[in-house]
Amino acid sequence: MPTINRQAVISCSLILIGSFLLIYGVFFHSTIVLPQNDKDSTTLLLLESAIIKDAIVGGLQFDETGRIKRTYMGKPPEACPT
Amino acid sequence: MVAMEKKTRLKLLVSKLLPQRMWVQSVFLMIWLNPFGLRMHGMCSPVLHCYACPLASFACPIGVIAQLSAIHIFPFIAIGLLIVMGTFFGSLLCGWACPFGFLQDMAAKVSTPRFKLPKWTGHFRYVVLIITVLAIPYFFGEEHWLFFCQICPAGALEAAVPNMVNQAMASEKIIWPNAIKLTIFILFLVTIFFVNRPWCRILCPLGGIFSIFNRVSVFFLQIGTDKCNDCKRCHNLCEYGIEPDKTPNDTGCIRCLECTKCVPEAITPANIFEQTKVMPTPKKKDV
Repeated sequence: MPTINRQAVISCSLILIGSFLLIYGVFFHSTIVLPQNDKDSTTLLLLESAIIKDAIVGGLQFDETGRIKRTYMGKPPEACPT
Repeated sequence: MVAMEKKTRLKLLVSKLLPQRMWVQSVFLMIWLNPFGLRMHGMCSPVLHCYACPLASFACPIGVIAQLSAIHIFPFIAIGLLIVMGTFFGSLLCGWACPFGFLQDMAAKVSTPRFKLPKWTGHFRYVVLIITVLAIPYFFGEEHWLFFCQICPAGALEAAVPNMVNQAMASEKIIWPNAIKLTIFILFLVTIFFVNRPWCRILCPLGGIFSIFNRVSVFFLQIGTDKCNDCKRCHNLCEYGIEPDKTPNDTGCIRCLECTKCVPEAITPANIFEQTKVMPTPKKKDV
């Protein structure tokens, strides 16, 4: 067990780091996603929360070129494929 | 004196809540079961609760890490949340808020012979975390049979079973979970009646993550060496084979806080902000 003062410094640092990651993830982190339809050339810029919503239902996958692509059109799948 | 008063308040709060732990767990269960129909799946909860559950308020952080690992995206939200919650509470969340832990605690109420687990089995949690949550998804994607969600018994219980019931009631074709998930789930259901919290102690990657924070968390357990008379009562109070008088913030601890019932009160809950102040300790003769 670290000494109490050292523990306080470690805890406060971890809370700051965690809060920074959380805020960055919620408000700033985004990823470009290709639409499911190959004919549609417009790409989507999704925030991480939207990526999570899509990913947990198996709505995002790599395509042949290694880019992230939506697996559905319109309404997302209701449940995770696993 | 201020520090002493605050310490007493925290101790009082814990001593009041401790007999009601099941109720506290029930309240948290209600929160995770989407009481307001919001389904905020873009945000993670700090507990193992499958987002494929028809009643899930938030996304499961382990599922999110695995799924985003499969598409090579760093999960800032899940990691940030786990660091913040872990630093505040450590594995207190396992003992008081996790619905899957609550289920195992309920099963522990059944009077069956209980087997003790060797302490080293707790290291398997990190193996599960590294292999099935990080490495397999990253290198092989979500279709690999060892992808965490493919084998998670919480997913089987909270998502697959309710969905199968729904399919049966709607006279639709029943989609069974894969054989490995089903086997692990059945093994889990049997084991919870003979071992206390087997999933949390051997395999839960989330428990593994939170337990790392136990030694540096804001809330922690402290041992008053001047109060401890080495009676080993705390060893009997702990159902998880920990020796709280030696390692009160052990990585195998789920912070059920049963050891704080020890008399004399040698093991007490504390937080770092109180501890930075000078705290009067009673002399040996006062104990």
